[in-house]
Amino acid sequence: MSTTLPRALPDVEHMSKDRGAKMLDRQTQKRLGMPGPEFARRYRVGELADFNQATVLDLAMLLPFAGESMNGRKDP
Amino acid sequence: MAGRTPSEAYSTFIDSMNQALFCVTAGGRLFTSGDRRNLQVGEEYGVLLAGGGAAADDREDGEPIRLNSAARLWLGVAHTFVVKNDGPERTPYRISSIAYSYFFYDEVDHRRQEVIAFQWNKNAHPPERSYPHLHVNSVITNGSPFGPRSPFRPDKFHDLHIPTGRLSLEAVIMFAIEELKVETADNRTIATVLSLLREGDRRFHAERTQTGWAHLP
Repeated sequence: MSTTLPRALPDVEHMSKDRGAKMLDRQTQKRLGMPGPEFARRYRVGELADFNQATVLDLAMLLPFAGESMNGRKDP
Repeated sequence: MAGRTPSEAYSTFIDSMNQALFCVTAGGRLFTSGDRRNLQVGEEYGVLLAGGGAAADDREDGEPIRLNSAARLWLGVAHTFVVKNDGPERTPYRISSIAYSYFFYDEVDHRRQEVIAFQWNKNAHPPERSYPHLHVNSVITNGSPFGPRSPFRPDKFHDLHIPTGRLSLEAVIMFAIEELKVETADNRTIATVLSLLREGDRRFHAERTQTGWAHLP
């Protein structure tokens, strides 16, 4: 009888801010047609209401990778 | 997810995510914006499932991961957390989640389309949208093509039991008023009715003894 051992989990990798900023920019260009910095600014001031909101939040999740806060303030 | 140090709390948290995700994904890995040796209390950090790795092409960064299924499905996972220092003396540090986005995609003719997303942003703007929720993309109803084995085909979609957080009846009525624009009865103002419903919803969560998941094996 053979036993299948669970495979080793992949290492979790730290992503640098530079790489995170590039990722944000690439994804916001691809999915919303705007640069990452513009997305960050418009997200924080609530200027993205005309876009698919599921996509907007999905992209906002990338902000911490670019060294930005999702919500522009500390979590209480 | 508590620990004696931020690093210890983080390790417990990230290991559980890693363990869960890699039950269903064969490729990719978790990336984080936080260096586990230098996590700061109160700062926001991201966790992301993506392809690639340090030595790989960074064009895979932020892209979803293909799931192993008969249909061509993809999964995107992103999570945001903060480190808190408010626990008991023995394990004072804990990881506190503040947002998540779990996105499912369907692929047909080499084109990936967003289908459903489970999301939550505790600090959403406006705050009325800060509850966990489910988005169903219009591809379900707009005639977009699906592959023959896709579980998201419009003639199959209604059979899916899509999990959600447990809702109070009040939450459903609030959804009807705020999202579906259902009118209030007896000429009561929306603000009055919503205030009443929010109070009922708070009571529901304060008094409930089951999450709705406890019966599962």
